[in-house]
Amino acid sequence: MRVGHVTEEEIQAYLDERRRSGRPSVASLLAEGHFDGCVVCRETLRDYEYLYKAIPTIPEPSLSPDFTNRVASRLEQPVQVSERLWDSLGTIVSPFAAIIALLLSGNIAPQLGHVVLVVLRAYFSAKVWWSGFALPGFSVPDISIDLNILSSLNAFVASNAETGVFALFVCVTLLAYSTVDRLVFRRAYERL
Amino acid sequence: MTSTRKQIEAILAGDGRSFAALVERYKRLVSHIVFRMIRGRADQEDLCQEVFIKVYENLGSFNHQSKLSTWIARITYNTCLHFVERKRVPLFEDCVSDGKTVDDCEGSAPAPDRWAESRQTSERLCEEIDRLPVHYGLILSLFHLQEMSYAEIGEILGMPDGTVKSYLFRARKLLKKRVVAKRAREGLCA
Repeated sequence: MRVGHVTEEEIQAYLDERRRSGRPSVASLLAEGHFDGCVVCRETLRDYEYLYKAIPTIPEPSLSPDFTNRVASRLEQPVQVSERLWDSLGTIVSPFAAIIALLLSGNIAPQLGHVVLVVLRAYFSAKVWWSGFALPGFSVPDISIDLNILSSLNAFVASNAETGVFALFVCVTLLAYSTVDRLVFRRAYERL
Repeated sequence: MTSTRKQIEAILAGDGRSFAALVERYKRLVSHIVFRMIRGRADQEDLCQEVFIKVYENLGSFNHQSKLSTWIARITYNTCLHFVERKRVPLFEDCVSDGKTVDDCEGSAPAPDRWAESRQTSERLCEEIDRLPVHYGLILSLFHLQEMSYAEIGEILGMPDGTVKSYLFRARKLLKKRVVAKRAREGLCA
Protein backbone atom coordinates (compact mmCIF):
# COMPACT_ATOMS: atom_id res chain seq x y z
CA MET A 1 0.00 0.00 0.00
CA ARG A 2 1.46 3.37 -0.97
CA VAL A 3 1.70 6.39 1.29
CA GLY A 4 0.23 9.70 0.03
CA HIS A 5 -2.14 10.34 -2.85
CA VAL A 6 -1.66 9.06 -6.37
CA THR A 7 -0.68 11.93 -8.67
CA GLU A 8 -2.80 12.84 -11.68
CA GLU A 9 0.07 11.84 -13.92
CA GLU A 10 0.09 8.39 -12.35
CA ILE A 11 -3.68 8.12 -12.72
CA GLN A 12 -3.42 8.96 -16.41
CA ALA A 13 -0.59 6.47 -16.86
CA TYR A 14 -2.70 3.86 -15.06
CA LEU A 15 -5.66 4.48 -17.37
CA ASP A 16 -3.45 4.53 -20.49
CA GLU A 17 -2.12 1.16 -19.44
CA ARG A 18 -5.64 -0.16 -18.90
CA ARG A 19 -6.69 1.26 -22.27
CA ARG A 20 -3.91 -0.62 -24.02
CA SER A 21 -5.00 -3.75 -22.13
CA GLY A 22 -1.40 -4.52 -21.36
CA ARG A 23 -0.01 -6.24 -18.31
CA PRO A 24 -0.43 -3.91 -15.31
CA SER A 25 2.85 -2.57 -13.98
CA VAL A 26 3.82 -2.70 -10.31
CA ALA A 27 3.03 1.02 -10.06
CA SER A 28 -0.45 0.39 -11.44
CA LEU A 29 -1.10 -2.41 -9.02
CA LEU A 30 0.04 -0.22 -6.13
CA ALA A 31 -2.23 2.58 -7.37
CA GLU A 32 -5.12 0.14 -7.69
CA GLY A 33 -4.67 -0.86 -4.08
CA HIS A 34 -4.61 2.78 -3.05
CA PHE A 35 -7.84 3.63 -4.91
CA ASP A 36 -9.71 1.07 -2.79
CA GLY A 37 -8.98 2.91 0.38
CA CYS A 38 -8.72 6.59 -0.68
CA VAL A 39 -11.86 8.60 -1.45
CA VAL A 40 -9.95 11.58 -2.90
CA CYS A 41 -7.97 9.52 -5.39
CA ARG A 42 -11.01 7.42 -6.26
CA GLU A 43 -12.91 10.61 -7.12
CA THR A 44 -10.09 11.84 -9.35
CA LEU A 45 -9.89 8.43 -10.98
CA ARG A 46 -13.63 8.53 -11.62
CA ASP A 47 -13.35 11.94 -13.32
CA TYR A 48 -10.58 10.67 -15.58
CA GLU A 49 -12.43 7.44 -16.30
CA TYR A 50 -15.37 9.50 -17.45
CA LEU A 51 -13.10 11.59 -19.66
CA TYR A 52 -11.42 8.57 -21.23
CA LYS A 53 -14.84 7.08 -21.98
CA ALA A 54 -16.32 10.31 -23.30
CA ILE A 55 -13.54 11.51 -25.59
CA PRO A 56 -14.07 8.79 -28.24
CA THR A 57 -17.78 9.68 -28.35
CA ILE A 58 -17.32 13.30 -29.45
CA PRO A 59 -18.93 14.03 -32.83
CA GLU A 60 -16.81 13.24 -35.87
CA PRO A 61 -15.92 16.18 -38.11
CA SER A 62 -18.31 16.06 -41.02
CA LEU A 63 -17.13 16.58 -44.57
CA SER A 64 -19.59 16.99 -47.42
CA PRO A 65 -21.03 13.66 -48.60
CA ASP A 66 -19.43 14.02 -52.03
CA PHE A 67 -16.02 14.96 -50.61
CA THR A 68 -14.14 12.22 -52.47
CA ASN A 69 -15.74 13.21 -55.77
CA ARG A 70 -14.83 16.83 -55.17
CA VAL A 71 -11.19 15.91 -54.64
CA ALA A 72 -11.28 13.79 -57.78
CA SER A 73 -12.80 16.61 -59.82
CA ARG A 74 -10.14 19.01 -58.56
CA LEU A 75 -7.50 16.57 -59.73
CA GLU A 76 -9.05 16.45 -63.15
CA GLN A 77 -8.57 20.20 -63.47
CA PRO A 78 -5.29 21.28 -65.01
CA VAL A 79 -2.52 20.88 -62.49
CA GLN A 80 0.00 23.59 -61.80
CA VAL A 81 3.08 21.68 -63.01
CA SER A 82 3.49 23.65 -66.17
CA GLU A 83 2.91 26.95 -64.42
CA ARG A 84 5.53 26.11 -61.81
CA LEU A 85 8.00 25.37 -64.56
CA TRP A 86 7.34 28.71 -66.19
CA ASP A 87 7.45 30.47 -62.86
CA SER A 88 10.80 29.04 -61.94
CA LEU A 89 12.19 29.95 -65.32
CA GLY A 90 10.59 33.36 -65.40
CA THR A 91 11.28 34.51 -61.88
CA ILE A 92 14.53 32.84 -60.98
CA VAL A 93 16.48 31.75 -64.03
CA SER A 94 15.79 34.55 -66.48
CA PRO A 95 16.90 37.49 -64.29
CA PHE A 96 20.19 35.72 -63.62
CA ALA A 97 20.52 34.95 -67.30
CA ALA A 98 19.93 38.61 -68.04
CA ILE A 99 22.63 39.68 -65.55
CA ILE A 100 25.07 37.23 -67.14
CA ALA A 101 24.08 38.61 -70.53
CA LEU A 102 24.73 42.13 -69.31
CA LEU A 103 28.17 41.22 -67.99
CA LEU A 104 29.15 39.28 -71.09
CA SER A 105 27.87 41.83 -73.52
CA GLY A 106 30.02 44.60 -72.03
CA ASN A 107 33.69 44.00 -72.64
CA ILE A 108 34.10 40.32 -72.00
CA ALA A 109 32.26 38.53 -74.76
CA PRO A 110 29.68 40.53 -76.71
CA GLN A 111 28.85 37.56 -78.92
CA LEU A 112 28.07 35.30 -75.99
CA GLY A 113 25.96 38.02 -74.41
CA HIS A 114 24.02 38.23 -77.59
CA VAL A 115 23.44 34.47 -77.54
CA VAL A 116 22.07 34.61 -73.99
CA LEU A 117 19.71 37.38 -75.02
CA VAL A 118 18.53 35.33 -77.98
CA VAL A 119 17.85 32.45 -75.58
CA LEU A 120 15.80 34.74 -73.37
CA ARG A 121 13.83 35.89 -76.34
CA ALA A 122 13.28 32.27 -77.31
CA TYR A 123 12.04 31.54 -73.79
CA PHE A 124 9.37 34.21 -73.94
CA SER A 125 8.43 33.21 -77.47
CA ALA A 126 8.07 29.59 -76.36
CA LYS A 127 5.97 30.56 -73.37
CA VAL A 128 3.64 32.62 -75.53
CA TRP A 129 3.53 29.87 -78.13
CA TRP A 130 2.86 27.21 -75.47
CA SER A 131 -0.07 29.17 -74.10
CA GLY A 132 -1.88 28.52 -77.34
CA PHE A 133 -2.21 24.86 -76.42
CA ALA A 134 -4.32 23.39 -73.68
CA LEU A 135 -2.69 20.00 -73.28
CA PRO A 136 -4.31 17.55 -70.86
CA GLY A 137 -2.74 17.84 -67.42
CA PHE A 138 -1.13 21.18 -68.11
CA SER A 139 -2.47 24.60 -67.34
CA VAL A 140 -2.17 27.55 -69.65
CA PRO A 141 0.30 30.04 -68.19
CA ASP A 142 -0.71 33.65 -67.79
CA ILE A 143 1.20 35.40 -70.55
CA SER A 144 -0.04 38.99 -70.32
CA ILE A 145 3.26 40.29 -68.92
CA ASP A 146 5.39 37.97 -71.04
CA LEU A 147 3.68 39.17 -74.19
CA ASN A 148 4.64 42.74 -73.38
CA ILE A 149 8.22 41.76 -72.67
CA LEU A 150 8.42 39.78 -75.88
CA SER A 151 7.04 42.67 -77.91
CA SER A 152 9.64 44.99 -76.39
CA LEU A 153 12.41 42.48 -77.06
CA ASN A 154 11.34 42.18 -80.68
CA ALA A 155 11.19 45.94 -81.02
CA PHE A 156 14.75 46.26 -79.67
CA VAL A 157 16.02 43.59 -82.01
CA ALA A 158 14.35 45.34 -84.92
CA SER A 159 15.91 48.69 -83.94
CA ASN A 160 19.46 47.19 -84.04
CA ALA A 161 20.37 48.81 -80.75
CA GLU A 162 23.75 48.02 -79.22
CA THR A 163 23.91 44.70 -77.43
CA GLY A 164 24.97 46.35 -74.16
CA VAL A 165 21.98 48.68 -74.13
CA PHE A 166 19.80 45.84 -75.19
CA ALA A 167 21.08 43.62 -72.34
CA LEU A 168 20.65 46.39 -69.81
CA PHE A 169 17.09 46.84 -70.90
CA VAL A 170 16.37 43.10 -70.62
CA CYS A 171 18.06 42.83 -67.26
CA VAL A 172 16.10 45.71 -65.73
CA THR A 173 12.84 44.57 -67.27
CA LEU A 174 13.16 40.99 -66.13
CA LEU A 175 14.22 41.89 -62.63
CA ALA A 176 11.28 44.27 -62.37
CA TYR A 177 9.00 41.63 -63.80
CA SER A 178 10.10 38.92 -61.40
CA THR A 179 10.00 41.25 -58.40
CA VAL A 180 6.54 42.54 -59.19
CA ASP A 181 5.33 39.05 -59.98
CA ARG A 182 6.74 37.60 -56.77
CA LEU A 183 5.99 40.38 -54.35
CA VAL A 184 2.75 41.84 -55.67
CA PHE A 185 0.78 39.53 -57.90
CA ARG A 186 1.52 36.28 -56.12
CA ARG A 187 0.82 37.72 -52.67
CA ALA A 188 -2.38 39.27 -53.95
CA TYR A 189 -3.33 35.91 -55.37
CA GLU A 190 -2.62 34.13 -52.09
CA ARG A 191 -4.82 36.58 -50.22
CA LEU A 192 -7.79 35.70 -52.41
CA MET B 1 4.30 -6.49 -51.41
CA THR B 2 2.04 -4.83 -48.83
CA SER B 3 -1.43 -3.62 -49.73
CA THR B 4 -0.35 -0.01 -49.12
CA ARG B 5 2.50 -0.38 -51.59
CA LYS B 6 0.16 -1.92 -54.13
CA GLN B 7 -2.33 0.87 -53.64
CA ILE B 8 0.34 3.52 -54.07
CA GLU B 9 1.66 1.88 -57.22
CA ALA B 10 -1.85 1.70 -58.62
CA ILE B 11 -2.40 5.40 -57.90
CA LEU B 12 0.91 6.31 -59.48
CA ALA B 13 -0.10 4.28 -62.51
CA GLY B 14 -3.18 6.47 -62.80
CA ASP B 15 -5.83 4.32 -61.15
CA GLY B 16 -8.46 6.79 -59.98
CA ARG B 17 -10.39 4.21 -57.97
CA SER B 18 -7.36 3.44 -55.82
CA PHE B 19 -6.94 7.11 -55.08
CA ALA B 20 -10.62 7.42 -54.19
CA ALA B 21 -10.15 4.49 -51.80
CA LEU B 22 -7.17 6.25 -50.25
CA VAL B 23 -9.24 9.42 -49.76
CA GLU B 24 -12.03 7.42 -48.17
CA ARG B 25 -9.61 5.68 -45.86
CA TYR B 26 -7.75 8.74 -44.64
CA LYS B 27 -10.34 11.51 -44.76
CA ARG B 28 -11.23 10.93 -41.11
CA LEU B 29 -7.61 11.40 -40.06
CA VAL B 30 -7.19 14.48 -42.24
CA SER B 31 -10.42 16.05 -41.07
CA HIS B 32 -9.55 15.45 -37.41
CA ILE B 33 -6.35 17.44 -37.80
CA VAL B 34 -7.83 20.18 -39.99
CA PHE B 35 -10.93 20.68 -37.84
CA ARG B 36 -8.79 20.90 -34.70
CA MET B 37 -6.47 23.51 -36.15
CA ILE B 38 -8.67 25.64 -38.38
CA ARG B 39 -11.94 27.39 -37.66
CA GLY B 40 -14.43 28.09 -40.44
CA ARG B 41 -16.40 25.44 -42.27
CA ALA B 42 -15.48 26.50 -45.81
CA ASP B 43 -11.77 26.72 -45.04
CA GLN B 44 -11.83 23.34 -43.32
CA GLU B 45 -13.35 21.55 -46.30
CA ASP B 46 -11.07 23.36 -48.76
CA LEU B 47 -8.00 22.47 -46.73
CA CYS B 48 -8.98 18.81 -46.54
CA GLN B 49 -9.24 18.79 -50.31
CA GLU B 50 -5.93 20.61 -50.65
CA VAL B 51 -4.25 18.00 -48.44
CA PHE B 52 -5.37 15.16 -50.71
CA ILE B 53 -4.25 17.06 -53.80
CA LYS B 54 -0.82 17.41 -52.17
CA VAL B 55 -0.83 13.73 -51.23
CA TYR B 56 -1.60 12.87 -54.84
CA GLU B 57 1.09 15.15 -56.23
CA ASN B 58 3.76 13.93 -53.81
CA LEU B 59 2.89 10.27 -53.51
CA GLY B 60 5.79 9.39 -55.77
CA SER B 61 8.20 10.74 -53.17
CA PHE B 62 6.75 8.68 -50.30
CA ASN B 63 9.65 6.47 -49.21
CA HIS B 64 7.77 3.97 -46.99
CA GLN B 65 10.05 4.76 -44.05
CA SER B 66 7.05 5.84 -42.01
CA LYS B 67 3.44 4.73 -42.08
CA LEU B 68 1.35 6.25 -44.84
CA SER B 69 -1.05 7.60 -42.22
CA THR B 70 1.80 9.41 -40.46
CA TRP B 71 3.02 10.86 -43.75
CA ILE B 72 -0.46 12.07 -44.68
CA ALA B 73 -1.01 13.48 -41.19
CA ARG B 74 2.27 15.38 -41.45
CA ILE B 75 1.25 16.86 -44.79
CA THR B 76 -2.06 17.86 -43.20
CA TYR B 77 -0.38 19.49 -40.22
CA ASN B 78 2.04 21.43 -42.42
CA THR B 79 -0.75 22.50 -44.76
CA CYS B 80 -2.70 23.87 -41.80
CA LEU B 81 0.35 25.67 -40.44
CA HIS B 82 1.00 27.21 -43.83
CA PHE B 83 -2.64 28.27 -44.06
CA VAL B 84 -2.53 29.88 -40.61
CA GLU B 85 0.66 31.71 -41.53
CA ARG B 86 -0.79 32.87 -44.85
CA LYS B 87 -4.11 34.04 -43.47
CA ARG B 88 -2.61 35.28 -40.20
CA VAL B 89 -5.36 33.67 -38.16
CA PRO B 90 -4.76 32.82 -34.50
CA LEU B 91 -4.12 29.23 -33.56
CA PHE B 92 -5.41 29.55 -30.04
CA GLU B 93 -8.91 30.22 -28.81
CA ASP B 94 -8.50 29.91 -25.12
CA CYS B 95 -10.91 32.56 -23.83
CA VAL B 96 -14.58 32.47 -23.11
CA SER B 97 -16.82 35.33 -24.17
CA ASP B 98 -16.66 37.33 -20.94
CA GLY B 99 -12.92 37.56 -21.16
CA LYS B 100 -12.18 35.01 -18.45
CA THR B 101 -10.70 31.66 -19.18
CA VAL B 102 -12.62 28.60 -18.18
CA ASP B 103 -9.72 27.81 -15.87
CA ASP B 104 -10.84 30.73 -13.73
CA CYS B 105 -13.96 28.85 -12.82
CA GLU B 106 -13.16 26.68 -9.84
CA GLY B 107 -15.82 24.40 -8.51
CA SER B 108 -16.55 21.65 -6.07
CA ALA B 109 -19.21 19.12 -5.20
CA PRO B 110 -20.13 18.01 -8.69
CA ALA B 111 -23.60 16.65 -9.17
CA PRO B 112 -23.03 12.94 -9.66
CA ASP B 113 -22.78 12.29 -13.38
CA ARG B 114 -25.44 14.88 -14.08
CA TRP B 115 -23.30 16.47 -16.74
CA ALA B 116 -22.28 13.11 -18.09
CA GLU B 117 -25.84 12.00 -18.50
CA SER B 118 -26.82 15.00 -20.55
CA ARG B 119 -28.03 14.35 -24.06
CA GLN B 120 -25.47 16.74 -25.45
CA THR B 121 -22.52 15.51 -23.44
CA SER B 122 -20.36 14.64 -26.39
CA GLU B 123 -21.09 17.93 -28.17
CA ARG B 124 -20.23 19.84 -25.04
CA LEU B 125 -17.06 17.89 -24.50
CA CYS B 126 -16.16 18.62 -28.09
CA GLU B 127 -16.65 22.33 -27.41
CA GLU B 128 -14.34 22.06 -24.42
CA ILE B 129 -11.70 20.34 -26.52
CA ASP B 130 -12.07 23.12 -29.09
CA ARG B 131 -11.26 25.59 -26.36
CA LEU B 132 -8.02 23.89 -25.44
CA PRO B 133 -4.79 25.25 -26.89
CA VAL B 134 -4.66 23.89 -30.40
CA HIS B 135 -1.76 21.49 -29.88
CA TYR B 136 -3.40 20.04 -26.80
CA GLY B 137 -6.63 19.35 -28.71
CA LEU B 138 -4.71 17.97 -31.63
CA ILE B 139 -2.61 15.57 -29.57
CA LEU B 140 -5.71 14.49 -27.68
CA SER B 141 -7.49 13.70 -30.95
CA LEU B 142 -4.56 11.83 -32.44
CA PHE B 143 -4.03 9.78 -29.30
CA HIS B 144 -7.61 9.01 -28.31
CA LEU B 145 -9.45 9.07 -31.65
CA GLN B 146 -6.75 7.94 -34.05
CA GLU B 147 -5.04 5.72 -31.50
CA MET B 148 -1.61 6.89 -32.49
CA SER B 149 1.49 6.36 -30.37
CA TYR B 150 3.62 9.13 -28.85
CA ALA B 151 6.27 8.43 -31.48
CA GLU B 152 3.83 8.76 -34.38
CA ILE B 153 2.35 11.97 -33.00
CA GLY B 154 5.85 13.29 -32.42
CA GLU B 155 6.78 12.55 -36.02
CA ILE B 156 3.71 14.39 -37.30
CA LEU B 157 4.16 17.47 -35.15
CA GLY B 158 7.96 17.47 -35.20
CA MET B 159 8.16 17.13 -31.42
CA PRO B 160 10.10 14.74 -29.16
CA ASP B 161 8.02 11.92 -27.64
CA GLY B 162 8.50 13.41 -24.18
CA THR B 163 6.93 16.69 -25.24
CA VAL B 164 3.96 14.86 -26.76
CA LYS B 165 3.49 12.92 -23.54
CA SER B 166 3.72 16.05 -21.46
CA TYR B 167 1.25 17.96 -23.69
CA LEU B 168 -1.16 15.05 -23.57
CA PHE B 169 -0.99 14.93 -19.78
CA ARG B 170 -1.60 18.69 -19.53
CA ALA B 171 -4.42 18.53 -22.07
CA ARG B 172 -6.28 15.85 -20.16
CA LYS B 173 -5.65 17.56 -16.84
CA LEU B 174 -6.98 20.87 -18.17
CA LEU B 175 -9.95 19.21 -19.82
CA LYS B 176 -10.81 17.33 -16.64
CA LYS B 177 -10.56 20.53 -14.63
CA ARG B 178 -12.87 22.34 -17.02
CA VAL B 179 -15.37 19.54 -17.20
CA VAL B 180 -15.48 19.24 -13.41
CA ALA B 181 -15.83 23.03 -13.09
CA LYS B 182 -18.64 23.09 -15.61
CA ARG B 183 -20.38 20.25 -13.89
CA ALA B 184 -20.08 22.08 -10.57
CA ARG B 185 -21.44 25.32 -12.08
CA GLU B 186 -24.42 23.52 -13.51
CA GLY B 187 -24.92 21.68 -10.23
CA LEU B 188 -25.05 25.02 -8.43
CA CYS B 189 -27.36 26.60 -11.01
CA ALA B 190 -29.81 23.70 -10.96
